[in-house]
Order: sequence, then structure tokens, then C-alpha cells
Amino acid sequence: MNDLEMAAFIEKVAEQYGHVDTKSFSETTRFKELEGWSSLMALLIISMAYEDYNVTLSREDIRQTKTLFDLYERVKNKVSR
Amino acid sequence: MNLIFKNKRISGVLAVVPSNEVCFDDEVLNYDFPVDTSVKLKHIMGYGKRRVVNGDICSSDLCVHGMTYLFENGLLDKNEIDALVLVTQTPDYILPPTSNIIQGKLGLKEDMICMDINQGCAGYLLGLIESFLLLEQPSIRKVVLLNADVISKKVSCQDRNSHPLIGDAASVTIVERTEEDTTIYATIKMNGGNAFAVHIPAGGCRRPSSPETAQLFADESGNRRSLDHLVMNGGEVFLFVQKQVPPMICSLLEFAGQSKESIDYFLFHQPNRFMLVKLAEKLGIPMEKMPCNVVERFGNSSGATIPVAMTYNLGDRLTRESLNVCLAGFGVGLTWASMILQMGNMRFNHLIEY
Repeated sequence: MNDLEMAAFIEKVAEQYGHVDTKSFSETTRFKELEGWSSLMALLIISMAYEDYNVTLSREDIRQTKTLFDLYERVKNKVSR
Repeated sequence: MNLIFKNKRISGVLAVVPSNEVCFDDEVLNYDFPVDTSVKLKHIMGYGKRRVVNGDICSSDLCVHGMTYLFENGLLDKNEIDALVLVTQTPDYILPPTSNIIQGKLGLKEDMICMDINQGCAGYLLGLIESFLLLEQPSIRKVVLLNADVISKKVSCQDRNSHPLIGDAASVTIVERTEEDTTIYATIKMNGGNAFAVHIPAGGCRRPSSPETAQLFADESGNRRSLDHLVMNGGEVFLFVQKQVPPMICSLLEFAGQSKESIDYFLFHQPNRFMLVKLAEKLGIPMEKMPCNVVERFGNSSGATIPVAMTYNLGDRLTRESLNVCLAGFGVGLTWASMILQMGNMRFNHLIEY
């Protein structure tokens, strides 16, 4: 995935948050500190990563990542594997 | 593993749900959810009303209630029952088998087989497979398959992951031989390497229940439960289902020489609405063919959600017409199984309350 894809990835994560303004999301966004974060959001992100990138994110991946850039890196590394 | 059964049929299904109903809206304050999250949960997961037992009602009570109803309404003759198979994860006691207790309570004949099977979300499928196998014996003409769980007793009320979706239910399914030239196709797989994705840590012989195992503690998401409670790794279970179930259904259809379009209804285990919608999307099945309303009306009662979905959504239709149905169960074990069979001309197919 290149930078362009990173923008697409961030948008896909932002979509999971639903009502929130997606333009306010960036690679430095700490996605677990956003309003609306819950274990349901974790499930929605895991589901999106599997559907759109065929990547399996674990609970550990979610736990160990802070920003959307961290999360993007996890997904990218798993895609290239 | 692919399986074939000839000249067998399901001649009646009765679901039994507790009359005690609880609503997500009433309980939402217990969970400390922001309002947005609870609205989202209701919408995505299908949280609504669910049925749970009150007090000391156990699996056997729901089963005995259902079978007594059938006896009293002339829908089942107690002397014709040659085998009683009970699938449950919540037996009344560690021993004796709960099926023996039910046999005794109902005064069934001695010349029969009683058997408990410990299986969860795929338990209805495993129970049907076992029932068909028993019917290979000439002495066994009619099997009563019971699938019952009171899993609400094993879920912490402060566990936001599991508590809002769990329900209790039982079902009575009559399985017998038929002169008609029927073929039932089934497939089943298991992965015990991932057995602890859904489990109850204490209460067995490995870790008996004690004051320590009853202590509540908070997990990383703030859910409070004890070692005596059910714990589920939601993300892992979700991915397991999305990875395994669609290819299983495709290979079963191929094995049966049938197309997706030839199936009238996909009656799947009902974990929550989200998972069923995702499965339907992946399989390319219209939602009209895959009921997903059990969690919002009754809760997830493990294996019994399939007969609950069957009776609630199809009801008397199955006593009048014949439908080509695909059943699937997946979860605890991990176990995943599915079956294609023609269902219809049944003596009964409905739902009652305890």
C-alpha cells in the first residue's frame, strides 16, 4: 500500500465511526481515544480489515496500536506477508 | 467431513422459550454505554428483547415442559421414543446425564437410549447427525433430539460483550425414518486447537468453582466477570466464522449438487445480526432467505437458535408445504457444521413459552 492507500484506509476506519466528521481523521489520530470508541468499534475495524484487505487483525494488534498510522502499518505489514 | 443420510426426516419441531423477557433498553444503564454506542449496538448487533429463565429453572425443566406439551396435545406418544439425545452445555448436574433425569421425570420406557452431548452453537447440527446415526439401528424408530441451554446463568451481568445478546431456550425435534427416498447432506469440521476462544474457565475438574473463581474482575475493556463466567474472544470468533462458514456452505452445496438459488431458506445459528448480515453478504444470499431476527426477539441461546429461527419464522408453513433448507451452526469447540435437507409435511413446527 502506498500513501494514497493510506488515505483510503483512514477513510474506511472513519466510516466505522459513523456520525463523526471523517475529514477530522488523520494518521496521527489516536483512534481509541475518540468519542464512540468501544469494543464494537474494534470488531467493526477487524471486520473491515478482513473484508477490504483480507487481513486478520487480532485483539493484540488493536491493543498495541495507538494512532491510525500504527494501525495502517499493521495492516500493511500483514498484506505484504 | 461430508456425511450422507438416506430415508430420514424431521417430523416435528417445538421450541420452548422462557416467558420472562428482558429489554436491552431497560438494562442499558447497567453497562455504562454512551447513548451513541447503545443506539449503534442495537442497530448493528440487533440487541432488543431476550428471554432468560428466572430463578432455578434448568435445562431439564424447559425440555420436560416441551415434551409434556407434546404428550398432552397428542403430538408425540411417549412409548414410541427409542432414543433421547440431549445437546447442552448447561446440564443440571455434572452427573448423572440430564437426559436420564428427563427420562425419569417423564416416565419413559427403560428399553431406550439416553445420551447427553456437550456442544454449543453447532450443537443442533451435531444432535441431528447423532440422531440420524442412531436411526440406522432397526430397533430405533424414533429419536427425540433435545437442544437446551440456560447459558444466561453463566454470563456475568456486567459483561457488555456477551450479556446483552444471551438468551435461554430449548427445543424438541422428532427425527425418524421415512419410506420416502430422501437424501440429507451434511458436513462438519472441528478445531480443538482453538477450543478456548469461547469458554468457561472454572467449574469443571480442571479448576473447580471456589470463592476465588467467583471473584469478579475487570478485563481491559472494563467488562467485569469471574472465572465461573463465560468468556468470549469476540474478534477471534467473528473472524473464524467469516473464514470458515462461507467456504463450508459452498462445498456443501457442491457436495449436494445444488445451487444457492435452489435453497429456500438458510436457517443459521443466530449469534447476532452483524455476523449473519456479513455471512449473507459474503455468500451472496438475499436477507429474505436468511432470517436474522432471533437475537433481537429472543437472544442467542446457543444451538437452540436454529429451531427457534425455524419455528418463529416458518411456523405452520412447514406443516403444509415442503422447503429446501440449509442449516448451519458454528462456534464453541470450535465446531462448524451445516446440512441441506428437504423439510416439510411436519406434524408440528411452533414455539411455546415456559
